[in-house]
Amino acid sequence: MNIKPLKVAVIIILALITSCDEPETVVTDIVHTDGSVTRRIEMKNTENKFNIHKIQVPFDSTWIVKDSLEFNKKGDTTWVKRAEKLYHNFDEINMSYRSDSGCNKTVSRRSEFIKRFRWFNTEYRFAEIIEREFKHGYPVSDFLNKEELQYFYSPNTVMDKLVNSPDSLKYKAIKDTISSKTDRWTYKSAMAEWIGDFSTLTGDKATGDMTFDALKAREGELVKISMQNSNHFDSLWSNGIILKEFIGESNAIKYKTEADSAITLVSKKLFVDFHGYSVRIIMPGKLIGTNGLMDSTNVLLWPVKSEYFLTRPYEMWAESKEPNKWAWIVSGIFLLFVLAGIIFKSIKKG
Amino acid sequence: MKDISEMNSESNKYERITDILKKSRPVLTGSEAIEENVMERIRVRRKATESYNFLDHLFGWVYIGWVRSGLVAASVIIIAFFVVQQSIILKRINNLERQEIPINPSFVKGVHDVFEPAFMLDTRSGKFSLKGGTLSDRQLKLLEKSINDLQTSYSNLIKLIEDNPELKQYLENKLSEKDKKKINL
Repeated sequence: MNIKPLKVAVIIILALITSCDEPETVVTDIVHTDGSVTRRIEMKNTENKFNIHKIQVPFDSTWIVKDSLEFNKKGDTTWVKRAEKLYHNFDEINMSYRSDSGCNKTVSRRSEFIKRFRWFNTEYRFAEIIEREFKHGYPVSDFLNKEELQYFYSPNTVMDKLVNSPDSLKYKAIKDTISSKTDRWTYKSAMAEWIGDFSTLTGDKATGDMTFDALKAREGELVKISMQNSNHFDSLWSNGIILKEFIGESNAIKYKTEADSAITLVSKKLFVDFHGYSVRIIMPGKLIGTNGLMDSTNVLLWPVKSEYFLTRPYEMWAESKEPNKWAWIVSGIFLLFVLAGIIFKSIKKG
Repeated sequence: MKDISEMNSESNKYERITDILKKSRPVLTGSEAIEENVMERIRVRRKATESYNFLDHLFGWVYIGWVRSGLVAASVIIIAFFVVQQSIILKRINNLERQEIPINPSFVKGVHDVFEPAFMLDTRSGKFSLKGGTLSDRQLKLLEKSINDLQTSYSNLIKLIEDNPELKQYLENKLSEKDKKKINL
């Protein structure tokens, strides 16, 4: 599991796929007050190539599809496929996620809708959640500071804009720092996951130095060995050199099958087959809270990339409120009534 | 016997006096005005009694200590709840404004408000094409609004030019130059 070269290879492959025939996709969830959700998918491509199996969210024949060809100011053509479907509640969305046969079927996703009555207002909360891949990994926030996190969670268009802005030097430095810090985060999380998976596979067989707690206490050593040998990790692992250095020769021979199975599991989770897209959520009423990116017109956006849900669930949430006019009127009348009563009493007394 | 005869004579006297008084009745002038005056007084008195009863009934609770205290407490709780809730919401909205970042609107805006775009603008030919041949009420309203906005902006521009003689002169010169060029071509 040579993380660095593999990471580069995956990035190149993904870039090639994106540039070749993968459309740029935005999924918009328009949330209604009754909990129903109108989901819209908009895919843009320079060619009229839209492979149904490459759509990033569940899609079937019940969607209303519209194709169009649009021209920009320069006269360039863009093929746009729009699809729309009304989900009567968030359970329907979750059912579609469970039966998804699209390109992102391996990833566990769900949505949530909560409606809270707060007398003067009714509050709504909608969330799209992608479950984490690693059970034992560390949150990326432990490795990046606030500014770096903001850059890390930005869409590619924003990243490019910042890198080419007058502060380009600053953002290039941030980009490099993030790259080295996320490398360390990936290694640390992958090794923590390996220890977890290895312990699950060995079960009661492992005793003494090979228990989960004992291995976890020496996790730092494994990370150090792995990072020092990052360029030849695969060959060193398959030859058993890294394992021997970490758990000793006799244990490396005894637990080789479990160790190899665990590293295969970790690799699958680390390089999950996931096609990125962007999510937009449009809430009913006035927006009062979100963890998404927002522009001046309250358009919310979340880029969805596989590293976002590697160690922690990636939750895209938005909250809004709508005033209950009847409650305002009832409260006003009640307050006036009590006030009038008090005035009446004082007049009578006078 | 004497007493009985005295009583009879007194009652006869009384009857005679009342007969005299009945016969010498005072002449009543403006009887209608008097009647109206009496009726008005009765009406006002009844109204005052009624209004007193309604208010007394409506605000009867002010004389019951625990009801009065309870309602005042409920009012205070409602006001406090309103203030706290609104201030929390305002704080959250202010935080949201700080969260704002510049997003390239070219694509991330995503789907149009109107699901199927009514118009397709070909910038090369500069022509609009109408998809589907019909417009919905919403699309018609949008079109009407944009035309009205355009007309208002045009009127404002004309007014601005009319009010500024220098600007007017400058534009007239520019237009005449443009016309000359066209003629030369």
